[in-house]
Amino acid sequence: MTTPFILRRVRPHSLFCAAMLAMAIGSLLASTMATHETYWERLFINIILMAWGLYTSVPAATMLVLGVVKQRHRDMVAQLVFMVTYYGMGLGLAMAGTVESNTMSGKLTIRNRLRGYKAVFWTSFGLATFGLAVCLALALVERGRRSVVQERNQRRDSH
Amino acid sequence: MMNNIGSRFQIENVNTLSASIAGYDVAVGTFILVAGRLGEIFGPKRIFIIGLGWSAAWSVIVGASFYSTQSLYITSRVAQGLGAALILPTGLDLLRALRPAGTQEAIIFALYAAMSPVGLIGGAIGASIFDELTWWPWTYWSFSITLFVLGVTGYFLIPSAARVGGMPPGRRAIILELDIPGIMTGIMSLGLFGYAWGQAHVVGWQQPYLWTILLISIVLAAAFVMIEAYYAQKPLIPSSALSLEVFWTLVALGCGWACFGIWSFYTWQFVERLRSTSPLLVSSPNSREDRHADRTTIRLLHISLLLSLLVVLLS
Repeated sequence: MTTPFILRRVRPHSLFCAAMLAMAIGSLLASTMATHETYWERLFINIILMAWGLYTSVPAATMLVLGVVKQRHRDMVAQLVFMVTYYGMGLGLAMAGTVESNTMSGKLTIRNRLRGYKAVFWTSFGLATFGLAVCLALALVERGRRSVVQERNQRRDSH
Repeated sequence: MMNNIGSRFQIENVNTLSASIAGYDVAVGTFILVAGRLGEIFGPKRIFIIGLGWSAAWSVIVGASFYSTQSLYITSRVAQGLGAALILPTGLDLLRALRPAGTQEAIIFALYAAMSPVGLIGGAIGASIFDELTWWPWTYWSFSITLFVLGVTGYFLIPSAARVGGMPPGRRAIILELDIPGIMTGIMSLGLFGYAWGQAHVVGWQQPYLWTILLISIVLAAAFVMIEAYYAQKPLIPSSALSLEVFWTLVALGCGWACFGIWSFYTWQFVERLRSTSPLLVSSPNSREDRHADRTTIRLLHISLLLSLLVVLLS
């Protein structure tokens, strides 16, 4: 909810990176989650991180792509963002299913179950890390472009 | 709640039910672009109301699948997703058409984008409340009633002047305008790809037909790209809009949401399984105190979810 207001001060690239980082840390926490006592603290932080990352990533990404495309493509790109979120969510879950059933092979014992969950959480951590890497690359490209523009402006000013 | 549904259908491993969620999301993702195009041509209001009605009808069936098997449950969930796909893009169109003068378009976009997680978490909380108080089909039936009420109010309240363009004359013009070849290849490719992965969870990758489906979906995806690039007059995804930067942003976002999709299902499973996995509880699983502790844990989880929601809303 606060994202539109944060976005006035922070560039969408940085915000997008932050959101992905939150998701990566969130799933890392989930994969190290233990079944006993200490677990509450971790789960709580985990939920906050995930919820915030989720809340922020869509508006940030929407702003990011809207800043790049032409006016007449805006509607289509906004729809594309939604398409990707839903399809990604569904496909991620379906792929996690494959990971789970391959790692927990055999009976549904507690240990097997736990192994399946762990594998699934590590998969999601991998996905988030990949997303984060892409995000950082995008931010670097953007920064490079901005510095080029600035340089050009300075040169024009000095003339 | 998933565990209750699982026990109703006598599924040994509840996690196969993640196919119902995955199927729903894949259906939404697959049909969004098409729905946007339909809204452009037939008017967003009409498609919006149809989407609400469609969702309402299928929600009734999802609830009624209590008396049937899990395949009806999963299938009707997927069909429900189609309705959501119709609502999403047309809703944005309507919102922008109704935007009060002076509001920035970017604000509308951002607010709209923020609504989706709000709905997601609100829905999760609502579902668990219904599950606690009544039995799970009511979750879907109450959803259906809400949608129905929304549809009726929407029909009377939303001004229908919000139509973008006129109807193109003739059937052929409509086909070209809709980009039917692109739609067919695109939908089938995305749908089959998702289906193969979802089904693999249930039957395993050793089934050769899954590989065939996967292969077909990839061929169709190639066909889709060719059609969009060379054939379509009004392509669904114009190549000029899909720059490298846009593409990679979408990839990153997709990864993030895949991660969230996994998290949202498996963390809950992890916690609900606590009753059987926790070393504290495993010693005497049937004693009354343990069951009490168990319920407290789950209630605490709900409270913490609500709290985190509040934190996010207020921060």
